[in-house]
Amino acid sequence: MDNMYTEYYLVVDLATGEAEEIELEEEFVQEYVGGAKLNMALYEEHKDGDPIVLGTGLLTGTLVPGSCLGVITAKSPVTGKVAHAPFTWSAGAELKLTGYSFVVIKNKAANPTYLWLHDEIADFVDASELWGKNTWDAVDVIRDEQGEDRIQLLSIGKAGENKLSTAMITNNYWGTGDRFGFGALFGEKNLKSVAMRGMGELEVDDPDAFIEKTKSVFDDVKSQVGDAKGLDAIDYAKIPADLKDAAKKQLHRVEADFNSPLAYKFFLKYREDPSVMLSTDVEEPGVLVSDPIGYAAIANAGVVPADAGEVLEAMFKLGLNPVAVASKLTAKDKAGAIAELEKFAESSEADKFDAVFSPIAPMSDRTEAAYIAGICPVLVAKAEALNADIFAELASIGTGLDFKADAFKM
Amino acid sequence: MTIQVDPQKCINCGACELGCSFYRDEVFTTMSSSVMMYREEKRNYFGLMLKREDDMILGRPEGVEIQKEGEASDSDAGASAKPILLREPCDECKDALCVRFCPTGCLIEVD
Ligand code: SF4
Ligand code: SF4
Repeated sequence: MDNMYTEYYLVVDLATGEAEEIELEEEFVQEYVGGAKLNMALYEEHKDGDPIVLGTGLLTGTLVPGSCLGVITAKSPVTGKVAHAPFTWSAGAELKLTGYSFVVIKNKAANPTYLWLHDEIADFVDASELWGKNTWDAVDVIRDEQGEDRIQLLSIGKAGENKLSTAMITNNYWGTGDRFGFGALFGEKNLKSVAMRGMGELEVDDPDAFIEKTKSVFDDVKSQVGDAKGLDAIDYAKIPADLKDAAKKQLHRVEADFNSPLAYKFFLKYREDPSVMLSTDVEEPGVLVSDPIGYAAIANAGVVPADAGEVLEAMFKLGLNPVAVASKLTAKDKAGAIAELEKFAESSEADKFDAVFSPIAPMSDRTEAAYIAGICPVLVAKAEALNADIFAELASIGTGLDFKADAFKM
Repeated sequence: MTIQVDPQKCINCGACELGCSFYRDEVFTTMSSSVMMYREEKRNYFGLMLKREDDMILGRPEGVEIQKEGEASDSDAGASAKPILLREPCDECKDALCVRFCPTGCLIEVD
């Protein structure tokens, strides 16, 4: 593709250590558009290799609000079906900017490996030393090894290494929307991490028209999103009142995903005064609540609200899906809960549920369209200006092809 | 016209980097903007830098500092400022995309 996507996508065979660049053809994009839909086509094509497909949408990485979305598509150990989970923060856009809008990862590596994608290069790096390390240490080691602190990572912790359906693929130090046990698939493939950093550029067919349309969408989205921040921005989830109070006391700063106006993520400090703005020698002062629903699940399971952040941190470090394991906790305090989590990372099983898209945001036609376009489903839940008609219009202006709204349906 | 920074408002979304890069090359990238974010992710220490003709605005969470050319800084923000030295300085462009797409008012234009 000349516009909006990279020229190539990548097919990685972990068994042979080969990575093949394949041209991303215009006809293919016209038919499958992108995100979950194009991922699905690639999944079917490479089915024999039990693939994990990482993909972006046409709008991922552009100035369209919420353009942070990357989609993981694979067969879920929880549902037994092919499912789609989001990864956001900076990782979705970073994947595209590595030079590969889509990456198919198939088969199994003989030894622990991490995949290092950067500037149209895919390196297979030995991860024997990383196997057994928690996700935070893995991030530090890989960023140090590759000499760049803006590297974005999708990794697994102990739960994924143990191939558990409660495992979650993590993003840097925090969570993703993986509720499908995809972490177990990384474990089965001997894949510790996919590390990404790119200096790519995305071309646009009609830059002036694209920016003007995008600006009007931005203005609409901003007014629909309003001023709600942190837990107040997630109005579709049950957040206990005492958890909101506890979060307020530990709140450091609110944050948004890449190019999103919705600051629904927030950082809690509990090993340092939350009002401290300086960078101090406290290396791990707290946790980014990247997953408010997971955070709420911990409190709903009876854990003391003031301890919920630290328990969430332990889940991220072990690579456990907070929603899958929170309800299994019996301890009410952090020490007890963290000890239980260590055990869950050795052995535990997620409750079955039925869904094709990760239940991190309410599903609607607009959510489905967003999973194809590359727009954050959490933002879409707040902003009606983000819909299939708009995505089709922007996709058409950006590519010079003709997309209709119904292309943004699976 | 000049750009003012209110770093406490920043939510680290990076729209400004995308906007300025687009202004320069009409492509989407984060690599060619005059404004650049930095983040110590585990400590949640983040802010932004704006390279100008003769100096650099360091928008740190604890406050704004103007760093003259050639001046070293002993802070972490100074150390991670290296890549921005290679960038084009802000030319205070008209209808600045960095400002138009900043969702928080962290970046504003002043006369
Ligand atoms: S004012 Fe223009 S040149 Fe300066 S940082 Fe903003 S977009 Fe870039
Ligand atoms: S666009 Fe505004 S809020 Fe976003 S990173 Fe830039 S300055 Fe911060």
